[in-house]
Amino acid sequence: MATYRSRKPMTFEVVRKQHNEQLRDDLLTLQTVTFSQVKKDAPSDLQKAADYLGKLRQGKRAEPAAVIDLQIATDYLEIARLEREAGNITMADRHRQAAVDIVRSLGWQSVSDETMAKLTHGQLWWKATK
Amino acid sequence: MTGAMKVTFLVAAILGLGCGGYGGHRTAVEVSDSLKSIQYLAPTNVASDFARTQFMRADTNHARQAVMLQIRLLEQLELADKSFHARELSWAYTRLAMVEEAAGQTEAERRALDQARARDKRDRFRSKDLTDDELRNAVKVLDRAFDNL
Repeated sequence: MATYRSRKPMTFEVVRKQHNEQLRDDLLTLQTVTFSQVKKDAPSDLQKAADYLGKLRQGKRAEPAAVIDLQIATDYLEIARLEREAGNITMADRHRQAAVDIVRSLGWQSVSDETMAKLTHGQLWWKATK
Repeated sequence: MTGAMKVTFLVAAILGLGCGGYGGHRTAVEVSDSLKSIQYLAPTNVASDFARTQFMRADTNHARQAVMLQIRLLEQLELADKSFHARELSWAYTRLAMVEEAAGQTEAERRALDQARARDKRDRFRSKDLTDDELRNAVKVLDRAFDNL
């Protein structure tokens, strides 16, 4: 007889069972960063996502915190692009500067327009394929 | 039907069932492993993208930190869950070697290249080892493609 058993979503159970909390925390953090890249097409959505990531960042080790920082910078850059398209130059400049400050803190050696634009290319390409 | 034929048919049936069962079981295990390891796809991709971006854009210390994050994550995952296979580790070790080369750390560069070669040979079933330049070039081609998306 066929039976159906509901299963919990996959939340790195194998790692949890081994009490490897740091690895599981890193996996959950990185997974959250991925999920935050989905469905953000308006400046307000992007700002919410960046705020959420900012809260998530608190108390994290330097390495995963840096990954979150880069995602926040990417969100700010995307906000800047959208604000510029809408003619809100002041808001656009403010968000671009916030993104530049973050990537400088991550050791970036060039913050030219071309380099910064490439930060969002990957996500825009990914969204375009969906 | 003679006794010899009966025995032949019986042996053939047992062999067929055994081989089929073994093959089916192996396939099921492989599919199950793939399904289980899908959960690691999102976090390992983020770590990989971060390492690649920092490797291309950041100074030596930050690039090393990012590449080490990816390497530790992949190594720990392989140890924790046998269903996971870190096929990107050879590229990660190669990037680490290139970071160490830029930092003038010759010994660390050599160690990382040896690890990259060993992983590449294991993961891609090569009959011969890749040279240092082949490893570096493979990473450069990958990064160039990513950069031109």
